[in-house]
Amino acid sequence: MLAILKLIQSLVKTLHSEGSPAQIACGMALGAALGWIPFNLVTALLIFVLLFLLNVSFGAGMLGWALAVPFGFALDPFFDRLGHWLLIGSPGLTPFWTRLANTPVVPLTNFNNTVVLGALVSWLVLFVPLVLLLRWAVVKYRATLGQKVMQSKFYKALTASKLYNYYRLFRPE
Amino acid sequence: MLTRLFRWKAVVPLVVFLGVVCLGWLLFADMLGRRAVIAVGTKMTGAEVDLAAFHVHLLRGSVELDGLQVANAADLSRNSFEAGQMVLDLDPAALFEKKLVIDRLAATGVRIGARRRTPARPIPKVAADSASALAAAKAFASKVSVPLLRLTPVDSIKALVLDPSQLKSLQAAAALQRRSDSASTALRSRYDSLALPPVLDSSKALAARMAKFNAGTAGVAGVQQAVKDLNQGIARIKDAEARVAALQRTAAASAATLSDGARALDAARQQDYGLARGLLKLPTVSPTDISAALFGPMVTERFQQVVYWSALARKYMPAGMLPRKDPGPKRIRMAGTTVRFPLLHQLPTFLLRRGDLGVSFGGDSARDYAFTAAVQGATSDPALYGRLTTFTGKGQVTGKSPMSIDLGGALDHTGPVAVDSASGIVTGIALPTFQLPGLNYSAVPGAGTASLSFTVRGDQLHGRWTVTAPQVSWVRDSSAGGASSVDQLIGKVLRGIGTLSLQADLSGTLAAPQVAVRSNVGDAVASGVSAMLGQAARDAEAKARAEVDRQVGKQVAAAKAKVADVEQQGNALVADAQSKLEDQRKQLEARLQGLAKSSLPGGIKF
Repeated sequence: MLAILKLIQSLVKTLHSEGSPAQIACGMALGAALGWIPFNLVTALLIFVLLFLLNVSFGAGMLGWALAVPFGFALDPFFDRLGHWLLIGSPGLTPFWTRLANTPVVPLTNFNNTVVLGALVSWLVLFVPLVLLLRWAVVKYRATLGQKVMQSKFYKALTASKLYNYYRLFRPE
Repeated sequence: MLTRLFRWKAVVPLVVFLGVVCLGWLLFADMLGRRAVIAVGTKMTGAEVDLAAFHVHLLRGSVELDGLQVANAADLSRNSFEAGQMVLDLDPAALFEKKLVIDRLAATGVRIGARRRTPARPIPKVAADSASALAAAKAFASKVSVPLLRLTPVDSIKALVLDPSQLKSLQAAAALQRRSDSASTALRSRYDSLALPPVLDSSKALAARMAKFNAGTAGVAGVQQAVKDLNQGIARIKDAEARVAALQRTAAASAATLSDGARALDAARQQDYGLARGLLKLPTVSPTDISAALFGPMVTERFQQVVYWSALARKYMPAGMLPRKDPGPKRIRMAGTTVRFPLLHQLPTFLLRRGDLGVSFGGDSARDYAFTAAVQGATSDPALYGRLTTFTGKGQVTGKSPMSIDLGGALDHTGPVAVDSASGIVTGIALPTFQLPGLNYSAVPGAGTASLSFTVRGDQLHGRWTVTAPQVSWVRDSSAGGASSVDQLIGKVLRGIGTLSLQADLSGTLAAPQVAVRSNVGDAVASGVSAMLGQAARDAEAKARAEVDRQVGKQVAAAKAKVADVEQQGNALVADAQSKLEDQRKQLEARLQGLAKSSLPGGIKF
């Protein structure tokens, strides 16, 4: 419950004032990888490190994660087919995969699984369009609904919570 | 710029976060490892796997497994394998490539076949990786032909009623006749397509014209034209001769195929003899058939076990270097397919460089033992590793029932064709009592010697299993009724056998295995049965063969005659064409030579 509350706090605050639309969009697109790609400790740690270190919205990353999970489940058959085509159906790529598979740490990402590779590649391909789309959406939100939500009692209650202070550590500069 | 791109103040929380992750891994590594061993072991063996404790020693780079038990899927009250302690020295660098390389495995307190404290839970067979190996072994066993033992007296030949539709000779003869007809038609059609009559007609006309040709009156141009015409005519004939030569080759190939079919008729007739014999229920009098009938099921079971282990080894240690596909890990999301990409001179995904096992033999009652086994080079990618997987085992059990074991083997999966071989000999082993199929007797072999050698090269099989039991005894089944004359004879024969000697040879392929069994029991029973029932059996068999010959002889002879006709027809057509063409060619060549000897007006010679 505490985690959910914190998440909602960060999301709402993020959408309103913490960071530029580009920072929020980048954070959401990065966080989407966590829900988009089947869970793998190495990949997840890498994404978290990027969310921590890059000057993007951490809260938006969590929002992106939450929103991407259902898409990940729904698109698994597509990821499987794409990954199958890349790993098995494209003999020209075999030397590349073979080299990767024998490079330290890389195999720990499970990239040689059809669903994982399909999800990873599609996320990489969609990253830039996703950032552009999300940035446009945030700008649009702030110009329309944003002001009304900021005046609401729900928003004021949320921002008054002490938990919000922890979140501020990771807000964009 | 960097300040805007990076959030430096998050470095400390990040380090703390990563520290928490590492600490969590350290705390739960043993538990996760234990669960992984149980899950992977259960999946691999298809039986319950228990592990008391799992310890990771990071500084030593080793893993320790305590109280490992692998249940026997066929007998849930026993373990097929258990080890008191196993220490695995790992290659830490390989772990970063998601590879498991065990430099040395030392296992102590290993027991085979020990009784479990509580019965194991059954594991659904479909979940096991061993299911395909089990299916391969079962398929092998189902393809081994084991004859049924029949020792009943011959009743009467009048009982033989052969259904013509079951006779393979008739089916084969009809098919051969059809093939002969179509071959004959095809041959005639090809001969017609050679279009020889126009060639021969034009050659004859040219020869007739040239017979009247006078070089002296034709002039230089006329002679040149005549030479040209003759050369063209000879070329046309040579071209036709080449086409006839091609027809000759086709006819010869067709005749060879039909001859094979004719020979197959003889094999089909042998099968029909077998069918007729079966319908008559003739007694088995051949020593090899009796041995195969008595020991075939037991022999097949032994070889089936070896085929199972070979199939399992080939599943986990496949030959070749191509990428391999496996189902992905089980998870809430779709599993997908995991593809492995082996690379030459790199470490395999799994490698056990050396393993040493101290084994207790004889289940939970074993006390006095000294059996050690060693395995080297067990790997998931033999082609990468480039060396054989070898295993050896040696030991002696002393005491009341002394026993010695000596076994060894090698798995060569480094090349495109896998070669598995193993051999072993056990002396002093307590051989199990077994029932003789078709007889009312069981053999109690007592202690004896058993040896097994086995090689699978690709799908080619070669194996031998021998058993010698010097103190065998025979027990008549208590449930059997009154003893017939044959039964009494068998009892007398068996009581005269004090040493059981059995040799089974396996050959053929996995798809079509052949087992030949020889035993002194089979020889003795055959000799006794032959003396008692042999003449009647031989008479009945002769009548059965005569009945088959009567029913199929006419059609088979007709089919063979048809084959001979087609062959003769082909030869005749080719010989006729060759003869005519050769005759015409010689005529034209003679005209050409004659033209060369003639002279132009004024006595000018060519």
